[in-house]
Amino acid sequence: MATGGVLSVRLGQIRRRLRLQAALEGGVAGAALAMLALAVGVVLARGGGGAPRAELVATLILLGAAAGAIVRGARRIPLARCARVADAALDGQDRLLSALTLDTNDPSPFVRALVADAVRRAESLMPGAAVPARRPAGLPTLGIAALALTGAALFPASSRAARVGPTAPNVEHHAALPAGALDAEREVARAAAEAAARLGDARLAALAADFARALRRLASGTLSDPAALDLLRDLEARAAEAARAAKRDGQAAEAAARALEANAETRSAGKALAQTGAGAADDERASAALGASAATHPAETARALASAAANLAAAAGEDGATGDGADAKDRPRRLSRDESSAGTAPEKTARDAGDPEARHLEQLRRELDDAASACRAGDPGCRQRAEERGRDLAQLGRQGAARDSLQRLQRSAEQLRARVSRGELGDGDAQAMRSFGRAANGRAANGKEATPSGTNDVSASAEAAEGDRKGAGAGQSSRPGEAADGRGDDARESGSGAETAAASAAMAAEGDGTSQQESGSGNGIGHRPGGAPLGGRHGDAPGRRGTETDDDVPLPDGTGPGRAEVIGTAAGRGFASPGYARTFNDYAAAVEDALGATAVPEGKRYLVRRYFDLIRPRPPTRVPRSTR
Amino acid sequence: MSASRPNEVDLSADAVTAAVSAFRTDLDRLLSEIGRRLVGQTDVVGAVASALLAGGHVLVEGVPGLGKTLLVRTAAAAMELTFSRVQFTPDLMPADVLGTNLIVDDAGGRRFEFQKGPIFAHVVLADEINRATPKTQSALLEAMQEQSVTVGKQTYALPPPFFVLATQNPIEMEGTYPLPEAQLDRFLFKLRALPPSSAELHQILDRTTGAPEEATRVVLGRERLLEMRALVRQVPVARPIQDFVVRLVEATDPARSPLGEVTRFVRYGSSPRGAQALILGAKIEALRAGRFAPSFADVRRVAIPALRHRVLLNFDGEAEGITADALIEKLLATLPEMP
Repeated sequence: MATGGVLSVRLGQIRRRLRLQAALEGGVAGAALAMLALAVGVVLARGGGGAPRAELVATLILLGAAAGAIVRGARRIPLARCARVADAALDGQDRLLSALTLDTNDPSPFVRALVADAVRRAESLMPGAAVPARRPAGLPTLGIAALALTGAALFPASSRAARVGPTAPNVEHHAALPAGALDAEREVARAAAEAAARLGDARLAALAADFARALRRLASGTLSDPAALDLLRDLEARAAEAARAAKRDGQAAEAAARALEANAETRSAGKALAQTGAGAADDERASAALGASAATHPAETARALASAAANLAAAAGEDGATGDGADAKDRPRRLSRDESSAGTAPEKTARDAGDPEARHLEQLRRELDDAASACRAGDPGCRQRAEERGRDLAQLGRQGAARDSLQRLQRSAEQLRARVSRGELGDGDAQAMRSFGRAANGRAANGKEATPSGTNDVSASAEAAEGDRKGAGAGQSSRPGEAADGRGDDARESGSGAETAAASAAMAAEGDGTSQQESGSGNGIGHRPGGAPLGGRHGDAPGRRGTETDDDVPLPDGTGPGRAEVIGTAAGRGFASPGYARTFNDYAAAVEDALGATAVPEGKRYLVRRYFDLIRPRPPTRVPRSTR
Repeated sequence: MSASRPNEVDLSADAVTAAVSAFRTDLDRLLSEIGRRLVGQTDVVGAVASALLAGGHVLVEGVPGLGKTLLVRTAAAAMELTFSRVQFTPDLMPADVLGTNLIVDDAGGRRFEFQKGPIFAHVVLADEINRATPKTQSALLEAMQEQSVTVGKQTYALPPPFFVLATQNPIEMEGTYPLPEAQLDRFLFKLRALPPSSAELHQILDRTTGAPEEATRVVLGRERLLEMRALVRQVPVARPIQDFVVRLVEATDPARSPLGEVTRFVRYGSSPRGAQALILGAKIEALRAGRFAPSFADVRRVAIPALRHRVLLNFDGEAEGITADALIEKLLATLPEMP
């Protein structure tokens, strides 16, 4: 049609303007992209010591703009879009669009009228009015890109080597802890240091000093959590190893003392050895007694020394044999696992060969035998040798006496490590003390009155031990039996006990309702009965009963469930059960009867039916996500 | 000049322009005459006139006393059409609406004679249709769709034009039965009559409490109305506009909708009758504006009355208080006119 041709011509003009506008916007976008890419390139080049030439930069920007203009300008622009643009400039009633799409070879009278109307209106429309010149949409981006490029070119950059400075270790430190947060541990360290000084035990002294140093660093906040955990774990292992060695020393010394006490001539020396542990003065008393015996009764002394050597060897061997069993619990899990397979003689020999304590006992046994031989042979050095062995045995006894201090040190390090790993270092003691206060006042957290006064400590300690046993029994924490037993021992031995034991006892008394009922999730430590296993992190879910399950209702943040979700969730759970369907059918039949009676108002019948339709039995469905 | 179909007005391009102009003039006269008697409710009046011209029926929802009866009575009188009014009640029977066979005893002996019911009129006001039982409501189905009534084995054609304006009270009111979906779909538009504004209320009082009003003047004859109906059918629709209508109707279907709210809250979307209503309504809007083809804006203007009763909400939608109007508005806001 001729009139349609006019329309096409006008739409073609509009299309050219649209294309020009698109090319302009493409050029701006291309230039912006080129500038951003160049900004990155300039930064890299300047970092490497070079600088791109300005002419090259300008050329690349122009190339980018040209590429953008070509890409955008070459895009196809359908005439229908031009018609819409023209219609929008006219009255927005899609006259040109309708005429364009309806104009066929055999138009109806209506279409002819439509096209004529459209052409008449299109003739009055100037293409410039339909597509007015406007600022390209990408200009702000172009400005930003230009700024970025300018900044990259002007910003003073140093060489890579100069930029690389010392990097601070990415370690998160604690804030300084409140006063009193580590008092219990400090007391243990102080007691260990005193015991080390009294017994002359260098190993215990070194451990006590290290523990005290770790406490100072923790208190001042200069120790990160991972470093603290490593340090405490190392201390714990060293203390456990030392306690095991001390136990063996003590048993060997006791066995030698028993042998000496069995002989009438060396009984006084044996008794002196049995009382070692009070200090170095006992060493001289035992040495003098054994020397006197050797001087007056060398043959009997020789027999007693040989018997002592045999007992010592037997005790050391017995300890080595039982060490993998009874003592396994004293060792950290890592060590227990390493030694769990050590049971055969060759392996034991190989292990003892590398064990300085075993070598030391073997050396002492040999020297006792040598002394016995000397005395038996009437050697004039018999007395001197006997005195030296007396000092050696006394020193062995003192080393054995350090066992308790070492075990306390080990447990304290273990508890502290658990608190650090649970992140309750700052608050744990405050919580423990609050619990202790409640327990001391006779109020347990579960509402039960505590045992009448005078027995609170004992009962609380017993509950602590019980709670720990239950918690650790299935909690699969480290050394459950030891933790429970050890704490019970502490409580019994120290009456009201050290602060740690008392706090733990109070915690157990506070939480026995949960720890005893929910056995299996405890950690064997006692700071939080029934809590996360040892080493558990913040937010770990507490143990649940087997019948409990979690149901997640997906909801957007900050909104509660809608009514549909509430009912839908209920429907998903319960509306599908056979019991529900049976009950529903019973009620539905009764409701239908009632609805048939005139007593039910007409207007209410629909509501009742709709209600029953909503709660009808149906298969479980997923709760839809709220879109509110 | 193309070959004309039945009821099609055979026109040249110039004649089309004149016919459109006349259509516009006559429709304005009709609306003006109705507006002379009825204060306010301009949207409802316009949509009722559109439905009359499109050959559809209208459901008007609103509380009693908003002039619904006056509207349809005035429209019938202005077009010189027969009018009947049926007050639907719970005990109304289908025969009360359609008519029944009565035994007539005359000279020829006894015979059955069909006694026509009130539905045999050009304009039928089915007042408070949701107070009748679903059985009686369904009696209107055949009449509205086929424009005929079957009683026994005899089918009776209804006189054209046949137009039903049904009113219903809000569903929450006492003693109401919701209309079945099949019945709802028969209505071209569902309208909501809103209470008058203060100024309109003043005007109502001035008119109704003073001297008696003049009788309604006839502005259109029945034949002219049928011509106008035929003209509406000849209005062409551009493919992009029709494509928008198709996509809009499809978007009300929860299985095909791009809108999440429709998927979540809608039980059934619109039937093809919804698309027909959109196109016919848009054509009449175009003719009312003196244009030869509908635009996207025409479709948008009629979308809510044409689709609101065809978009059925599910339980979630009802429980959340979602309305079909809100969903359609959101669809109109999000659906691109040309993909």
